[in-house]
Amino acid sequence: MLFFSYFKELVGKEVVVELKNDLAISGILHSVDQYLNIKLENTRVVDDTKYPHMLSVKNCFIRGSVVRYVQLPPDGVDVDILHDATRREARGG
Amino acid sequence: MALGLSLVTERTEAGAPVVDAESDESIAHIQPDVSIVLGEGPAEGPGTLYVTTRRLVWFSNDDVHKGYAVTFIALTMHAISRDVEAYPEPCIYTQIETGKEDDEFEEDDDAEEPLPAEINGSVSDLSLVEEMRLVPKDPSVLDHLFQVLCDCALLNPDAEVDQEGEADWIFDEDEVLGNGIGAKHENNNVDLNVDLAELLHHDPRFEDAEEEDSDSK
Repeated sequence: MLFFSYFKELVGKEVVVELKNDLAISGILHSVDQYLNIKLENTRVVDDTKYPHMLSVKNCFIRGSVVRYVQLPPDGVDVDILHDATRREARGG
Repeated sequence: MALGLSLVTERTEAGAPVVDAESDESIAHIQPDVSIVLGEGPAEGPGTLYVTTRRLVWFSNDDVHKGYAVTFIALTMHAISRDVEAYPEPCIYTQIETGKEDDEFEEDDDAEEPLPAEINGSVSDLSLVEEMRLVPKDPSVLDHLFQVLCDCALLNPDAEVDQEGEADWIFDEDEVLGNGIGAKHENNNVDLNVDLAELLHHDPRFEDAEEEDSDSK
């Protein structure tokens, strides 16, 4: 549940979600659930050559299983806290 | 359940899709007056959209044998599209996982073409459709329809993925040296915390032996 908790902290921040089909969408993180399904608002396609029709979709729901990466804002990440949390999580804490 | 879009020809007497009660499928929402656009194809309709707890099903009002369905597991993304440059009418834009996107070993341009071939304006291979739009006659239903799709998508999580917490993860030197996960503590005869300088210069093992006999010097 670590990443679920972690992403909840990022709600309201701008992120870029890269899908496994290479589509990258930037937007404000609206919500996330335990399956890491992601809802974004004010979305923009980062590189519109592959899926030009998406251009400016307003709200979008992305299935967690197709997310490859979530790019985080630099000021949205406290590396030390994340580091400790992942160690605790791996130890079964 | 399958990936990709499929053709549905069967309907109940009431004109609804036949649901699979065994997999807990039931109709969650019915939206009349919806047209459907598959890939780059033309808008097809008028039709009725049935959102079940497992699938999205669209039936043509004019042709009782024409229907399309996609499982929520295959719906990788859905969104409200109001950008007229993207599509002239407000609609729900969706992307579909076809399972045919792995083009790593395939250099064939046709295979990479996401658009299904069109013959006489109709889509020839539904399983290749990667983008689909649902265009309601009344755009004010879009917000609710978007939410219904979110809710039903939540009912269809993937099968349990192997949690990585059980693998041996190494985080840093500290843990590799024996103070964390994966460290073996049983046969630890060596005290790793001993100062190296101590060992080099004052290792008790190298001290002269205490001799009781004085002949060897």
